[in-house]
Amino acid sequence: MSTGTVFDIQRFCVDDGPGIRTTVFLKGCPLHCVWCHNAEGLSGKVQLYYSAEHCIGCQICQAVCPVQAHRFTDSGHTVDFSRCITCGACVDACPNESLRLAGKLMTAEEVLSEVVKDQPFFESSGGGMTLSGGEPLMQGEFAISLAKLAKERGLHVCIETSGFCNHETMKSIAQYVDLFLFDYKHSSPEAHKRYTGVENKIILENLEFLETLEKPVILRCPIIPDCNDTKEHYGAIAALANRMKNIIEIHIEPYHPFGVSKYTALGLTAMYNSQEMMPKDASEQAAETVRALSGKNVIIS
Amino acid sequence: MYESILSNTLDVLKSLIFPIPAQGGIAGSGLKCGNIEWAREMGRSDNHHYPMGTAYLKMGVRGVAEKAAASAKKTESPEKRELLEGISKVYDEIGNSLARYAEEVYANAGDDQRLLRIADNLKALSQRAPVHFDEALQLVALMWYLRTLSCGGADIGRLDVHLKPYFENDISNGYLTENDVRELLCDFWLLINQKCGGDTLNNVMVGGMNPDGSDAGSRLSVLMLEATQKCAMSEPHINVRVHPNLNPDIYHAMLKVQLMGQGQATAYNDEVVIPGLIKFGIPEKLAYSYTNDGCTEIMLDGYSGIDFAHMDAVGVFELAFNNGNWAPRTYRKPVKYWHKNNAERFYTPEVVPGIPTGRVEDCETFDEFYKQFLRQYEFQTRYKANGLKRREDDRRVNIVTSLLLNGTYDYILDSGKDIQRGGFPVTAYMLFSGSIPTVADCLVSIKKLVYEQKKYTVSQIKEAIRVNFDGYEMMRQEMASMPKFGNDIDEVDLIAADIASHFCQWLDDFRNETGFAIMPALIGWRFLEEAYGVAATPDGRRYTDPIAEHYCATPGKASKGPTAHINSIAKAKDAIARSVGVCAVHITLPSNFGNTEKSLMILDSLVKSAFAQGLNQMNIAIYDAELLKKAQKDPENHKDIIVRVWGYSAQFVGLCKEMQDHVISRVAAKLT
Repeated sequence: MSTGTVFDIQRFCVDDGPGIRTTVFLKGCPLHCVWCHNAEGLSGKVQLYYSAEHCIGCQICQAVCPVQAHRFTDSGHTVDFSRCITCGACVDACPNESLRLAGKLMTAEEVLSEVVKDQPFFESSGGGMTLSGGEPLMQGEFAISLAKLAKERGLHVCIETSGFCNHETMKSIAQYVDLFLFDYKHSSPEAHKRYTGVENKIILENLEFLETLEKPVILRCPIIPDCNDTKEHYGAIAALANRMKNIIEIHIEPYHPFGVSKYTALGLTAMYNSQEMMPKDASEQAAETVRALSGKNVIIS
Repeated sequence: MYESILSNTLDVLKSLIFPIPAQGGIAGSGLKCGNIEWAREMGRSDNHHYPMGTAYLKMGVRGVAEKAAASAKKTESPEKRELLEGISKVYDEIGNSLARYAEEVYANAGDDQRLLRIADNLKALSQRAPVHFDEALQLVALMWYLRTLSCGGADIGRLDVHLKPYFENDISNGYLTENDVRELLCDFWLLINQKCGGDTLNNVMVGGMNPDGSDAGSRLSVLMLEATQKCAMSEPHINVRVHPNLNPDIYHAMLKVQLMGQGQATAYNDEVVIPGLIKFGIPEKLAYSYTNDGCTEIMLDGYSGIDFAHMDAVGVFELAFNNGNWAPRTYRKPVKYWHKNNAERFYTPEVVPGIPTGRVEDCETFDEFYKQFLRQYEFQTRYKANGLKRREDDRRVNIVTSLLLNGTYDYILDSGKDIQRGGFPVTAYMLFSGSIPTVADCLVSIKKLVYEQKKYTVSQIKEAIRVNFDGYEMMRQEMASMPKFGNDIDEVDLIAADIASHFCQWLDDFRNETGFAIMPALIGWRFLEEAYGVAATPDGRRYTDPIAEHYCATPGKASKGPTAHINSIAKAKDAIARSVGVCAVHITLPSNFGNTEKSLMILDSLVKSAFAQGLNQMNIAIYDAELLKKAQKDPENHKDIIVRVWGYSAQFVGLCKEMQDHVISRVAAKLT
């Protein structure tokens, strides 16, 4: 039985593919994009997640923790994440949701039984299941099981991927996926490596492969001020989209700072921690540039 | 019996002061009579919750007078004769009033073609039945105005069905264009809004299935929805009967109105409501005629009135938790009904204390406690049911009803029986029990914390409630973290469904025992006051925190989105089918839901899936919580915001602060 680590199953997602969808977030990512807004997805391991704003200072976590990871001092509740062994004792004891474990080991069947709860809504809206992450294909076997199981139950399947996976995994999952939401983060190989930690060669090869299969792709382009908000990059997005017939739509995803607090909750530090939303006119300008150059449907999401 | 009603009605009609319409094609806005007390007596025993009949459309007001006079001559019963002769005199005088109104408008018209046309219509209506759409709508507007002279509003019913023949005739022979009709409808909508807004009972129902399965809706239904979209005001509250053969244009127009985010149009599910009514014993033809009452409740358009009683479910829980008494507590605050101009008062939940159902402290299992709760609930249900039966018994002996209203139903013009003394083909009584989901939240919290995890005793919880959790924040947080209705969690959803089923069954039992039928309705409109009337509750709810509306999640607690919320509700499918009064559902979406073709498709999916799963009614609203907070601080510049209150929508800035806060609490976290 295929199992994997899931950090969220979110219902009524209306921006992760067509219709009403349930998005399954798989933990772990081989990329480390400096702007990543989903810090829970970075590590493949289960992690303690502490929301300081919900803590009522009851100190029960301190009492039950076997490794003294929780401390209460005059300055309040501090968590030493380096000590934490993610045993979950504090999570069980916490009276509210101030402490939780990010990541849960689940079987594919368990995940699907949660997903199909909204099947009537999928059917009436043309929606279905979306696999996301992290990078869902980092848990390739599990992702394939989920997609296969979902297809067997008649669900429309999308996958949100960086495209960074081995060719066999991509080949395997492609047969169960109806629509790819494929990230395109940077057009310069060097910059790609600098900002995401990996080169984009494999990614582009996988994208080419999907074209040979004529698999529909929505190109998702995060636009991050001072990283990739350049005319050259916009031109490259358009050129790629023009070249590949299977790219049916381009999504411009302007930077937002909503993920920064998640780093703190996991005891991490965000690399790109701007608190500023990307200005609306800048994202509209980006979309307009790509639209003019590509002639494809470009939306800001 | 009818002397006083008759003389007051004639006094009203003779003293009417006729306003000259400053704009539009419909006269009547601002109509007044000499004395408001006369108008009150004219409308005696009319609760305004149901639509008038359509006799005046079919035969004209003179025709009604003639028909009633002819029937009066035939009857041997003095009582019937008095009613019929009264109707005849009233409707003759309405004809005279219309003639006077026409003269008044002619006198002020000069060569203004708009006013001349209005005057022509009034004159024609004073003599004969309406022939054209504008005449028919004018007559509907004036009859509605006469009926509501002493109050804010009254139910309007299936206006698209009533006016369809006039509309289709005028369109086919080129007398009017669709644009003309839309404008006229806007004039009528505006006239209603100029009178009053909010809890007015002004409901219009469009669409719906005919007994042969065909669509009763028409292009006129679409135009009514478009008029609502164009006016963007709270009145009239617009509703749509959805069924498989509903014209897609009507359905689409409904979604467009819903996308405005003002808590309209409310959708009703013919495929559940009609079989439910037939099973309840309503004759088939009448079941297909259903419309909604002044708020949300179902009644029969032109064939029934409605009367009801209301029961506060969380109040019942509090009584069960305290062996038939109110919870001891150290706090109490007054609250307003819903509008900022209502007076503050201390609210006592609509249940009776004093029935000991047992000490919860002595229950060894959750089942024992749950049975005690059900005993309390059954007692309260029967108490309310008996009250309704007494009301009907009294009514049969004593009641006399407005002649103006009686005269609108063509069968009354034959039978001569007062609508409320056997005149209506169906006598409709309803018992409302809303807020069951908050009770389920309380029960599951007790089940887990007291009986399963044994973290607290009932006495400890009672003490925490007594002081509104002051010093018991940890306990409160644990309670707040327990499963909540609205998140598709069987453990709590099935408790709510079970309570709802029992409620329906008790009313069935009562009917079998007494012969008196009461429709169950999962509706509750006093949720705001109830939050001030009951103490804190073991779901972790502090005193005055919101209580569930109708059969929906406690505001702010449905954290998994609308699909999970709808699924939670649909688990009570069987009880919903039996809740012929309707199971009212409010779904609130955050404003970043958008206003695109995709948003329309999502709304479409929510409505279709909810109805396929057995819901019989659904209201969707879309709010921007931040904008609502801004409006609280700056009401002058936010008068355009309309929100759903309970069975109606109203101007947000007109609500009392407590209701404003309640509406804001409905908005779940923004979509990710």
